[in-house]
Amino acid sequence: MRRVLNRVLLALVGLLMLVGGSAAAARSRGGFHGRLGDALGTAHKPLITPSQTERLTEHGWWWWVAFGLPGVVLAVCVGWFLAQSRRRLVKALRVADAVTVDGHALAHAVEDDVRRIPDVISAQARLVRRRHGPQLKLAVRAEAGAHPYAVLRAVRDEAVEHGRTSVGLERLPVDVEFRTVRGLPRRHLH
Amino acid sequence: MSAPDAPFSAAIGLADTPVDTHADTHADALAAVPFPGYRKPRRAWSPRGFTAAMTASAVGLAAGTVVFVGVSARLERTPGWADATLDWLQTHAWAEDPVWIAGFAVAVAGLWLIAVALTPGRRHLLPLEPVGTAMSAYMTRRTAAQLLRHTALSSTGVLDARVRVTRRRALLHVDYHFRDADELYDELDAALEERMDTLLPSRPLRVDVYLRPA
Repeated sequence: MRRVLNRVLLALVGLLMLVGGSAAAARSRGGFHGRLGDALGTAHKPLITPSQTERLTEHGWWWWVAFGLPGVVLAVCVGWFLAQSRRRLVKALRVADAVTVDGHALAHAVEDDVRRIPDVISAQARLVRRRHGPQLKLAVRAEAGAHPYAVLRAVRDEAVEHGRTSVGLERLPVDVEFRTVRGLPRRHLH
Repeated sequence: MSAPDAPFSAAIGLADTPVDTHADTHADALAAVPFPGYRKPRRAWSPRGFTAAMTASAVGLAAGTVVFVGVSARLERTPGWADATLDWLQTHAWAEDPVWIAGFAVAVAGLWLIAVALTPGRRHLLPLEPVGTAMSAYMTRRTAAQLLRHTALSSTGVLDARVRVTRRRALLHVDYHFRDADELYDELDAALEERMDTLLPSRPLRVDVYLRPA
């Protein structure tokens, strides 16, 4: 949801900037002719005319539009900014009627299991909320030369499966980012 | 290949590709895995959190400044810098260079934001074939480069290898000695193709090898 919201708002801001910037540049270079040119004025007019300045000091409806709209934009931007810092971690997972499991504890348990897999050096797990339930985000760092399939298979069959069954989840989608450490594999070092 | 009922081994084309003992085991394992819910992996899409935060800050700051100036003007306590800005705007014409330069810069920034909004991002991640249902796996391009480099270095006569992996191809510059170039090329080509299969990329990368005698 946040991803979609961010992209829609970014596209909207980008479009407004593109249109506004292009229009300003075109007017500056005398790009508007005919009726459009008459309506927007020539390139030799000042950026703000005295009549426009006078309108800024009027206290009628125009003032509310000129400064109310930026107020709305400001409120939207504050909400948008705060939405980025909100972490979507699962704090507690209901296992039975009166039993909940700490989301961090489950993530740490999976991390520990992943670290026990041969060739794995470190692992970081986070349990995040998704529309269809919790999802495990896993970053795995393995030895140089490790076999990706072997590691991923063990992650799925051992660590994630263990974590999933331990809390009784029907399904625990997992998103794995696999990387290796720099350097040569062990066999090259002997 | 991407038919929902196709076995996973067929989907990734590994079952017929014996590589080494280690990989054979995996190919067998893959062949044994029926994978009814197989879906072609997609690229990782970035949430664009940082860009969104920066854009929200910039636009919010601009809007906040306008609101501040408007309210202070209403209270007849306009700050000096706001008056100076208004004077500047009244005394400079649209035709001046700073205006069209600023307009052009804003338009370019807008175009960039649209591109950021429409493209997936996370170019450093290569999507991998999932090992099972409910699993998405990615590998960094650097990791793929390292794994290919290790494969190249394990060939006799190879002194060093520099690897660059893009989203579509892997480019290896190999320094070698005491080997016939054609023979080494064939050996590397076969080894790297096999290694590439075991990396499970959702879209197999084209491997280009350039040999340079030391």
